[in-house]
Amino acid sequence: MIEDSTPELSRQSVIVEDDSGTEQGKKNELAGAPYRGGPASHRWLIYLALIGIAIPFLFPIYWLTTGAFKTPSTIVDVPPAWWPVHWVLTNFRVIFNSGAVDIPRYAWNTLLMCLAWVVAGTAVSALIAYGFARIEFLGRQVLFSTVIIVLILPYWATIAPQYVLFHSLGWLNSLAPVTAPALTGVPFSIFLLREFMRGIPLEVSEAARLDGANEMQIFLFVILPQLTPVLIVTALFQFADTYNSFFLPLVYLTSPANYTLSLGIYQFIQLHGAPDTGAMVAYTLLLSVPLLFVFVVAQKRLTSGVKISGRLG
Amino acid sequence: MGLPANPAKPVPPGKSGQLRAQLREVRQKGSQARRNLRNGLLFTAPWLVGLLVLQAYPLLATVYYSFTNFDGLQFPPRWVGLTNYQNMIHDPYVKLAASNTVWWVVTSVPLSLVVGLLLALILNQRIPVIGAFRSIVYVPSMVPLAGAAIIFAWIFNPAGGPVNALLAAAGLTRQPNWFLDANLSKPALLLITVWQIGPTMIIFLAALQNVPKDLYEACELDGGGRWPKFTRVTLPLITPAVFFNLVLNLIWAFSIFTQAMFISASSASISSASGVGAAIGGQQNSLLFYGVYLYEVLFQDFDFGYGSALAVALTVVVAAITVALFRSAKRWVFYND
Repeated sequence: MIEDSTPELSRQSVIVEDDSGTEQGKKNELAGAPYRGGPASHRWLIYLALIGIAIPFLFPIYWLTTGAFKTPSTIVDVPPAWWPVHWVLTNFRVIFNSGAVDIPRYAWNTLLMCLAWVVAGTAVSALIAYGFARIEFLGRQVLFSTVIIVLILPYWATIAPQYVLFHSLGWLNSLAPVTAPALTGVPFSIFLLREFMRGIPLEVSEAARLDGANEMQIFLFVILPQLTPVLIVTALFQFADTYNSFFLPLVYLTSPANYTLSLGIYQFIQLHGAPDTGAMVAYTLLLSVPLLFVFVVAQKRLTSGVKISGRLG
Repeated sequence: MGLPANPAKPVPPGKSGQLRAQLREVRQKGSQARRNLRNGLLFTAPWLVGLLVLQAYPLLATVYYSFTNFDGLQFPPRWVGLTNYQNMIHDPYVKLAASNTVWWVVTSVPLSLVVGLLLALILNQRIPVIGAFRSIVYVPSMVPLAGAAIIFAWIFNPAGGPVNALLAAAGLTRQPNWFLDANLSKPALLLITVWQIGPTMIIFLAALQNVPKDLYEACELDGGGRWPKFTRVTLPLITPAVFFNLVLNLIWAFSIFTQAMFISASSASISSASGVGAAIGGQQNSLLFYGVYLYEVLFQDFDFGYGSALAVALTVVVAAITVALFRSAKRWVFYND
């Protein structure tokens, strides 16, 4: 459940609280919501409205989840069956046994791509963010403004020469074009992590410096430990973003052996004309489960992370 | 005789020490600045490399390609001057793609902001189990774009989809064809955007929860009801969130691609009634957005010269809008710190 305002993670405070303690309760009193429930007699109206909103938001997920377990013939019933009469795994069997798609392979490729961006991308972004946030060097502002520019720049502005570059490196037909760029950092992650690092008082670094620590040691042993919750949020964002990416895999991954899950289902639909709807639905459910799982496990961190990112410029 | 030795006015020892200390400080500052420059560049080196190799060079190369005839393989690209740009003006698909994209931007962005804010206002009540409702509204945004498009193509498919079944049950005789109707495909696509409004809503919700309560009380004392409270207190204080959501949604709207590709592919194939026509731009090219067309030109036709000209045009438009937006922000975005 998404609770009331998690303690605001602003430049002033870099504390991400994991559980809603009394502290947060007090804060909520202060930050209180203006539109309260009103008199109890009107409550039921509000709940009615909320349920009215909830149904269309939930229905597609309900339809997907139940649909994947319907028999291939029920799934195309007219009028539709609102509940699977028989719960079957036929659709999943079809998708795993058909020669058209290789789900384990696509899942493995997706995992590799996500690992590159989540682990390497976040680590490198943290390094870069440290440089921007904690070291006052000549040209820092100008260089940081390029992070914002790249964040906003449409990828179309650079894709053709990048393609030519990766092609000449012999990278096409491997996962390299969709993994290696993670090593240069991710603008949004850099932006987010920098905001937090700026919130840590400079005296903390100063004290470590007097004890003879160099910048790398300060980064690793002083700043990073304080950032663990933020790093997790950044990594989660990165995971969702990478998992969702479709354009770059579509452009670069030409051999089916390198397909990711999103690209795999696209090619499946594209190349097999009107495919078995049941198989397509089962695949869609498989595709959606990992992110939904992450949401259930980490929703508190995720939503607090979305909240803190709400400032630009 | 001689003049008494007039010793040079001795510098008080303290002062000379000070001077030396100052010098040392300057030198230290200099070396500190040098050290900082070295460290700063070391830490940001990965970004610098990426900036040069993956952004700056490709950006310049795109501009260069746009004046050439180039298939991405045959070097060197052949210089053709402004031909690509001239071709753009006469290309009916550019007009179509541009107008589809403009339609999408001017509808989806305001819609996202308004619906996102309305939902945030409704979900900002402090009543039992409100957290569950917030989760319900947020969770669809965790469904992958590809998955969302396929689910919607399926739910809205005219041949036995649940939406049309409901409409039929409600007595509607002529049911809409949704994604298979060139006039309805973009509005139907808006429904996916609304369904995945989670991040926009959450950012508004956080902003609403940060509005200090005493301001509402002050407004109440001035005799302000709900509406003045909203326009005079809430709105000005959440302008940073409005700005942030505006920028993000604009970027998303201009780069719409994945949903359109998946809708085009799956809507036609689900209702096999429609037979072929799983063209890349959806029904009658109604989902041929700028990005979709660019993909076709660049990576299906491998016309890198023309594609680059299209990309340059898009970049210029996006850059101009962004600059204007950031400039205007100074006038209407209220940062409370």
